[in-house]
Amino acid sequence: MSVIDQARSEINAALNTLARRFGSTADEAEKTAIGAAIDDLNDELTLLDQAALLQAASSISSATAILERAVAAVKLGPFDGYLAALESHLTRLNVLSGKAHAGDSLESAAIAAPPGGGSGKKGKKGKKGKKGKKGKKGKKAKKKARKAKKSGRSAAAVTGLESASLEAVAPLLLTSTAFADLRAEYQDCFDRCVLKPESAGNVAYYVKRLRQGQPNYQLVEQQIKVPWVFVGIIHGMECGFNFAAHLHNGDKLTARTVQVPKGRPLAGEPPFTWLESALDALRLKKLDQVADWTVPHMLYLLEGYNGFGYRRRGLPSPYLWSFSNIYDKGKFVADGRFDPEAVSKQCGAALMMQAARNT
Amino acid sequence: MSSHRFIAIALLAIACAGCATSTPVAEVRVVGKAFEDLNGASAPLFDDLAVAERINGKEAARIRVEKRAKGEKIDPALDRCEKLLLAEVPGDVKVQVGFCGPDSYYYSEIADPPGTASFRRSIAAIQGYTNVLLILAEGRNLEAAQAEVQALVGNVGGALEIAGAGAAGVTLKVFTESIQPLLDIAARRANAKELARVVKDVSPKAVDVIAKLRETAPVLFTMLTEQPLLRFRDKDGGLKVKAIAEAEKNRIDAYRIAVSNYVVLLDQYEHLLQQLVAAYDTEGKTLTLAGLVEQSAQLSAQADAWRRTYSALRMGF
Repeated sequence: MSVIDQARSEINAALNTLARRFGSTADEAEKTAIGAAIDDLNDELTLLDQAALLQAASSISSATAILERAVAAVKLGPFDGYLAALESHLTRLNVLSGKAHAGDSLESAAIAAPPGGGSGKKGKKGKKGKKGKKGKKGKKAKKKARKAKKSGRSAAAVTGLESASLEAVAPLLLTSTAFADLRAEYQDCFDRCVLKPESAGNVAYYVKRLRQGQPNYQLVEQQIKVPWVFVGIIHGMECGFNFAAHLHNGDKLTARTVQVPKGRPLAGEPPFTWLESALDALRLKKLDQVADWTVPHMLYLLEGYNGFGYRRRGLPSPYLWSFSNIYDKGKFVADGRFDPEAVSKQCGAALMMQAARNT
Repeated sequence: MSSHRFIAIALLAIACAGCATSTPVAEVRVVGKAFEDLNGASAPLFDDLAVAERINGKEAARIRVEKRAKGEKIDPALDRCEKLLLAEVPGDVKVQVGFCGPDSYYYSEIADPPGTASFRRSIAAIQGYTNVLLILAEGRNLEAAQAEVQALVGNVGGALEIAGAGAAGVTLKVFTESIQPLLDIAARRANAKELARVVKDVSPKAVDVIAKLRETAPVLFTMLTEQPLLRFRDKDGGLKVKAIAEAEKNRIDAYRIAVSNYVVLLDQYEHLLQQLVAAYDTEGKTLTLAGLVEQSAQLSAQADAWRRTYSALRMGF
């Protein structure tokens, strides 16, 4: 029996004695004195009860803490070494699939660098984009665009896309590369663009990957205000969503880029994080200085990223419209050669944007 | 991926499948149900304990200050805030001067006082343990892990399909599709193994807590009955008025039944837990589910009886 218990026991015995006397005595003075003593002893019991409970709580706490630690150490994750190894195989395959997918990316269709983000030259190995020059051709294009504008001919009006028919249509686009001329056309096409049902699975895959990478893309957005969807689309189109590669050209993050643009990032030491590389790539394209992130301007920047070669032919770029009713066939293949019968196997950026907005 | 490695993984998986142990899901659920009964029935007891402890804590604070004001000695072990004083005016009105930090949980009504908090924490720890048993037995942890793996496999498969990686793509796709069942088998095996370890290694710790709760039941009873006991032999209450004494006696007796039920439920839960441990200890012997279920049903009936006792207590008999 603990000291506290012994004390309680003794006090209780004393209280019983006092209670008996309280009931038997007729002396009021004695009753008052006994009453005072009972009050005092009850006070003592109150203090002892508090101490006893705290002591009990303390002893329970020690055992409880041991159980809590043991429960916290329970391994609820089933992946031990063997499983982790298998999982790493899958991760590596994932990277590999990204590479395979990136290999299907569109050849450059560059003719001129668009303001604030047009790509003059593709950095990918074996992909030599034709670099057009602004000048006579550009002026000619602008003239054509003005003419088209004057006649009130929009891409949609020409092709009858109002019906949102799934029938493949090839709108005769404005050939201008000035955004002011193209704003309405981009919005028009975007509003009327419909996914070809046979490509629904492919687009779903792209959007899934886009969503998976969203936290990383949002880190970029936080730093340089480039919308995460735009970053993700570039990442998917250029690197097959591979986070182990430079956003500039798909080179490995373990060293500076070796293909064009070579030697990036300039600052820091390899290995680079994907975020460091992405920030450098987007700054290099001056995308951090862009203030207009409306749908038409994003489409303009994305088309410029791949090149305006399709537009020069009055054709919709598969970089934007592949898998949709806007695009049917025709793409630049190796060495800047245009093949009118070749069909893009890569999802168009506009469809990704649409799907990302709707999911 | 080389074919050698693939074959090695497949062989390992087959080996794992062969040695996989069955998980005693039903038996663990019986223990889980027993805990629910214990937890449900003990909650009102701790609610009452909180009220009693709060009254006691405030009274103890008042008594200490009054003793100090009278110059009486206080046992240092029982003293909490020795600088607290009493201010008084003629006519018996007194007030404590100063604030005692350690007594905050007796005055606050937004948290349990310390003793009650400790009892509740112990029950919560046992609940945490029971939940872990259930999660492992029912494989709820595997569902999340498998969803991750499926997403990974799905991504790889989808990417290969779209990329049209040719013959290599087909091989890789077969590999990714084959991995899913391998992961399932191995994950289940790892889970069953962990459940067996938890039952054997952690159960004794849960039993220790139950033992402590049982040991401290008398203190729990004392705290719960302190106020009725004071009224029972108060010089202006039970000592003078028989009806008051009888009401308080009945109240104390009801608490005796309630705390006794609490002890019995603790015993029963402990017994079920030990049977689960014993079943794991006896290799090759099937768990006696029928026995466990019977005991669990008994426990539920006892928990119901306790609830009835409590209703009577709250209704004032």
